[in-house]
Amino acid sequence: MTTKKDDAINSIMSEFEEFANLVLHQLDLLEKLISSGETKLSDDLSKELISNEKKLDKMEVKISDKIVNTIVLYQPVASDIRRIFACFRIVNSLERIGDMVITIVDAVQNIKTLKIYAELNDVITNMLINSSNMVNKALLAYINDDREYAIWTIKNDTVVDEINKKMLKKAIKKSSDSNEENKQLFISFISMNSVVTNIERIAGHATNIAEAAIYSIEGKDIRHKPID
Amino acid sequence: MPLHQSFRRKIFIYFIAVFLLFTVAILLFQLQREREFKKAQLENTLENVTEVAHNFIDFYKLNKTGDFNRADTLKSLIPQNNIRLTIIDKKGKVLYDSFVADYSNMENHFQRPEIQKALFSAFGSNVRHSETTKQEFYYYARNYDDYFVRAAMVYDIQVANFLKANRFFIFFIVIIFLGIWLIVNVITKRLSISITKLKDFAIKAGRNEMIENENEFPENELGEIGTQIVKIYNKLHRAKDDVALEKDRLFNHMNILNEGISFFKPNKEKMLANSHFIQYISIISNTSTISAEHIFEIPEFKKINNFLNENLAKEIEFLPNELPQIEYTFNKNEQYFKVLCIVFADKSFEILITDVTRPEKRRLLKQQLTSNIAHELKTPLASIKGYIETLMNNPGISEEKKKYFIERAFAQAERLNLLLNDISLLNNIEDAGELFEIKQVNVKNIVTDVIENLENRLSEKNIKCKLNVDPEVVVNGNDSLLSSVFRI
Repeated sequence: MTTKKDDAINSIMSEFEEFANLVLHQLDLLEKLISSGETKLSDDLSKELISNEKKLDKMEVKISDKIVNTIVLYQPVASDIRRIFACFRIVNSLERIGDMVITIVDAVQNIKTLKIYAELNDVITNMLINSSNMVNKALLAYINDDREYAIWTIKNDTVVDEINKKMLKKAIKKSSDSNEENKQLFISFISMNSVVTNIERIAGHATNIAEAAIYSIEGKDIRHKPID
Repeated sequence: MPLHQSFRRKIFIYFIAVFLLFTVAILLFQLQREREFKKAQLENTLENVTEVAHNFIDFYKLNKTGDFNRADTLKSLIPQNNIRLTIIDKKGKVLYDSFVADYSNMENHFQRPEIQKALFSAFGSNVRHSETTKQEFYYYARNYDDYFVRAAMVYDIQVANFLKANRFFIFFIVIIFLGIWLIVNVITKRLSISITKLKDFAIKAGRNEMIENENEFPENELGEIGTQIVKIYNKLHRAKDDVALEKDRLFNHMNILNEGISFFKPNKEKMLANSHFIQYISIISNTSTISAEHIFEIPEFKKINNFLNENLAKEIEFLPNELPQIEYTFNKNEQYFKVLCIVFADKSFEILITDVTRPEKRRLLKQQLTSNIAHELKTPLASIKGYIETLMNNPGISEEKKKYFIERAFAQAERLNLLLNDISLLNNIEDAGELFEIKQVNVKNIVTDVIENLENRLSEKNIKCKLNVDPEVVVNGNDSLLSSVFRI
């Protein structure tokens, strides 16, 4: 007894799976780049990353549309609506992860002091593998209704944060010369960068909110589209 | 409830329309008949009047005398007082008229339709406005040998009477119609109850809700159909819920399993897959994915792919107790995986991936151990064999040498015995590790015991033993096995 509603939800889920796989693929590509220790990436890789990002943007809008249509047409209730709404939230987050992959790739290309990059590379690779793994497990938790994995991811977040902070400090101690002043400078720069990046993320979220507002007012999805 | 209203109204309108048509037809037919009947009655009366008039004329020979004034007597003879009597001769001249005093001046009546009709068929009738009296009359004329006798009745009075007579009939029809109206109303209401219930059911079914009011349908065929549909629906719903519950249970079970397991449809589309399965294929393929279908693109699973392509072909059929399956182990990045694939009778299939790294490594270790043991056993055995061979081949050997060889052989046999004891101990640990009781053991006590046992041998070789173990140290283990560790 599959109803039209079930079909619609299945269709959303299969699109979602494709979308999630593409984001994971982007993370894999990034992992390859970071773990290679290179700051330059090949044209092919760069092209693939960009075209994938464009695809992701399109798919996000499509899935959002499908979700809205399904809610309007079939009025799903209980676990169905929870599943769809969770999907909606996850898609938003995944899209942001996709954007961040591109930002990271750009940032890597701007690193000029290869020595420092090489020394910090282990830490960064570790962080990235950890984070990708978290994304993967969190997605599996959603797809397979696996509570354990979800809890693992949520708990792991704080642990990873803690470890990464410690590792970064250690790496700075190890990498920079014994000059205390340079060390302080280094930490300051990193902290400032963190401040700036987070401010940028606030702005990015503000844009998302504005886009949501326009969607609410005009019913137009203007994500990833130029505004006149 | 708009559907209910419109359905009921529709049925109602159809029924009422049919009955209305029927009623109107009956009414018209009956009116026609009534009119015919009334006309016949009227004509009958008028004919009687003409007959009486004719008889009167004939009896008094008015025809001969021409004294038609005497016909006035007829007026009082005829029971109906509103009947106009006219006598007209064959040429149309009015000989007498009961309503007109001066009838000798009346115009010629030969061309009057009733006269014309009477000329050809003995009698004629016509409804007409009288030129002379300016009144509406029903005329009836009869043709006699020498004259026409015409009787007429004022028509409007007749019509009034006529309608009066019919009012009861119309009233009767209207009453019947109202009765039918009420009956149709009740019938449609009853019919629409079943339909409404079915509609409510359909809406609930559309929302995938459970329906409990099976017995609320009225007791007719439609209600029976409704009840049966609801029963079937509820059964299906329950079955679906049960299946969902089973699936849930299966899924929970699958998530607890240490194996990666996945079920696929015949078109290689995933039905169920646990997280381990997807993690394993991620590890094996070295790419992150959340799709179980990714497995078919990994080179390590080419065997599975080939096996499936062979067995999923449509023409191949197999019995449920002879399901085709394939099983193999492979190694990837220092890890060992066992893959099992079973195709079911409906061509859906299951793939099971088990991380066998630990048992596989243990198997390899055991293999190594066995060959090592064989080697270890061979060495003392060879020595013993050598000593005995020397003794056998050299019978003349000195007693001292003989004793030496025998002692050496004994020592080697003793070593062999120790080795065998060790192997059996190892086997015991391996086979029945759980039989050894694990408890808290004070390490210092054990080591002190061992030293005391070995004291003789130590003093022989002039070895001094200094024990530096904290008396507080306690480990979880088996005391006899632990003491054998220190004894070696």
